[in-house]
Amino acid sequence: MIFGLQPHVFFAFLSWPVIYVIIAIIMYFVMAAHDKKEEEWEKAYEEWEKSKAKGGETE
Amino acid sequence: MEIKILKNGYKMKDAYERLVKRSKHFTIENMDLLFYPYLLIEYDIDFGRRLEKLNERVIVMADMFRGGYSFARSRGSFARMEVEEETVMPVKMDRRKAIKEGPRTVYGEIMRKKKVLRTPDIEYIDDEVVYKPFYIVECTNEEGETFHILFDAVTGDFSLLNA
Amino acid sequence: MTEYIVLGIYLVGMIGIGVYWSKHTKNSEEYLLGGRSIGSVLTALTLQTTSMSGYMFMGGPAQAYKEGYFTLWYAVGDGGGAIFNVGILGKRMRRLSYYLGCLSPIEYIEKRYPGSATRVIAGAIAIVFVYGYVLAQFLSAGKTMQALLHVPLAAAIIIGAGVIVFYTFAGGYLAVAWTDFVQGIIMVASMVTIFVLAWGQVGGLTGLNLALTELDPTLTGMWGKGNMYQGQWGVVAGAVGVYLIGYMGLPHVVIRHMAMESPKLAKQTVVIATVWNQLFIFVPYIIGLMGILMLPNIDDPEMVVLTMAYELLPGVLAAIVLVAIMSAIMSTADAQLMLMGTMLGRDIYQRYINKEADDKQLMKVSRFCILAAGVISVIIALLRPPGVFSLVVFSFSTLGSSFLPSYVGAVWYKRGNTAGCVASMICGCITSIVWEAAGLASVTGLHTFFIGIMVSIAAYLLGSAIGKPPTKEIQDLMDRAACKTKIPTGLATANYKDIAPETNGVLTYLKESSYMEKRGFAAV
Repeated sequence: MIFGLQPHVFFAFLSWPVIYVIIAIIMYFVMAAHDKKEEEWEKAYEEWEKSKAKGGETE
Repeated sequence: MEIKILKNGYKMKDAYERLVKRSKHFTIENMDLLFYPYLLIEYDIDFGRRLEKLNERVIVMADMFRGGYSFARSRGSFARMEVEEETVMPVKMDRRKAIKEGPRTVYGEIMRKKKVLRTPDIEYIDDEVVYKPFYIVECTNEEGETFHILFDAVTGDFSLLNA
Repeated sequence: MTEYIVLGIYLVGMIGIGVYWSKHTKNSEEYLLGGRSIGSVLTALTLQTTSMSGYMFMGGPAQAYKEGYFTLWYAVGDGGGAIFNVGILGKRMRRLSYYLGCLSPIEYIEKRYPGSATRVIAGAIAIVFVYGYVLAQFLSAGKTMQALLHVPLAAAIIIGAGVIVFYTFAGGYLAVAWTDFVQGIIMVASMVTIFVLAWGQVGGLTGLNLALTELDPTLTGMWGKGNMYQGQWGVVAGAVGVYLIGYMGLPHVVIRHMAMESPKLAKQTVVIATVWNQLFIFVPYIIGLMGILMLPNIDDPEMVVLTMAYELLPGVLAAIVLVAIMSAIMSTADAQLMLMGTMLGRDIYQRYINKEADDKQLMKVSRFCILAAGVISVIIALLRPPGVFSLVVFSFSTLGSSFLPSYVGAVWYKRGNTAGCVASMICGCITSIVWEAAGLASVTGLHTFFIGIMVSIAAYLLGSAIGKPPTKEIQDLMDRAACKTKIPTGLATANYKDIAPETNGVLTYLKESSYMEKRGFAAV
């Protein structure tokens, strides 16, 4: 018995919240890793931009 | 021909660097300007006296090549420029039709962004054709295959043209 | 008396927040974009509250009260819905919808599967079944008002619907993200309060389960009270599937993918929405189970949460729960009424009745339609009020059966074409209606959604195999949405959606002009 339920019933119904939260957290890290890459690319560019004389006029 | 353009914040060299910073695994072979036509249409939104605070002037940017409208945040700054004809994309849409259809975007923005049911009056103020500069960038990957990128010279956004 | 005062304070408070907010807003841009400045917590909560509706306070607990643990299959599906949705449709769908240049979910279907039949059928199904939802909200509102005012159901429905329509009109423009947020907080707080108090009374989860087993062992079994669904995996698959994958067929959920403003917020939103879902989806069903013990002789199981509130809480707090239910109903109903108004105005009126209609007329028509929909709903509700639960689940499964293959196939199946889309919408919708109307679910042991989706998928595949394949242009766009290239990741993942429409325009120009040749480029 788990919380007064037969084990298979407990796992069938009440284990899901935990599983879903774990999946969501994994998704968070996967997405975060991707965002971080994007940020690095943007940062590399910004640094390069700072290091050069500012232009910005029409050619 | 001389056209009015939105000023480009990104020179060719800037665009080049921006792309190169993204990845080392490709080479840029060629890059050139292309001008995309828009109609900037100004409207006044009038919600009536009681909601005065919401009244304001807005700009709708009509895509004059494909049709389609977007809500512009601000006018931006302009320059006049002498360019070669084939780099200027033709205006394919009807100006009067664009002015007539523009308010739909404004209403759409109001309906979509917030639950505003009050119907404001929308008054046409002014319009003009301006061009936005883009770069067409030709690249090759490490296998030597060619692909193209479209680079927005005003904002620095870019996207793949063909994959 | 207390109830009147609390409800009065609540309504005044909601309008107050709206007025305060509109006074402290500098211009209409800030006002219109209210939602944009708020962080991921608020975004997640408001998204969830608008979709929760009266069902969570009435239909769900009632079903658990009647069938026992079996009903939790719905919760199991619902809890994972968001994850599935984002995982399968997610970015691809967002990219494709921008490449196609469309804003509404019906427009998306129409552009991906071009043809006038697509638009007519998709529009009709969406309008009818979103309306089913609205009707369910009105019924819930009526029941709440009945408990509040102690008047006959008919009068209560008229009052409840009146409040909603009034709120949609008058409150509409005041209803900013913050009112949704406050409503959300009230809803969760009351649900959790009842849950905690009842938890104590039944002796926690273990106490609840032991007592239920003692009362009737089948209540805590896998197959429902009296083992009514013994061995019917088709029913289980349908119940889980309705909310697990059914979300992907719902126009008003799919639109959120298309509107996802900041990709960087998405990751927080997924986590918060999922955690929130676990709390707010399982809890109402379990409260329904607790009701079996605490209120064994209740007349109308849909009133289980409300009755429990009155038994467990002092008058004022019980009244707040009533308000919470109205909140849930109002925040869902006004969004859906708006959606319907827009669809009727743009897709029906402008397309078929008055092609020359300008936008102002269109907006007026939309408003009139909202009002008309309100009146008609009241009449239908008065004639024959079905259960809230069955109406919501039925609308949900029909929308899911009709649209799911088309939405999923749109990004994942390159052969998927107009014929397949039309066939799946028609077959899915009809199967769902017939199955429900003839009561075949209990006879065959196959849930309406399960059979509906199977038929719909089969029709989609068959239609796609027979009909003309999608144009080269659409196939190219799909490839782009899928990023099927040997292009360095740093470039391929650049996600600047703002220039997506221009990209298509430029591509057309480059193909039809001599630009590439003259400027020394390779052909595109």
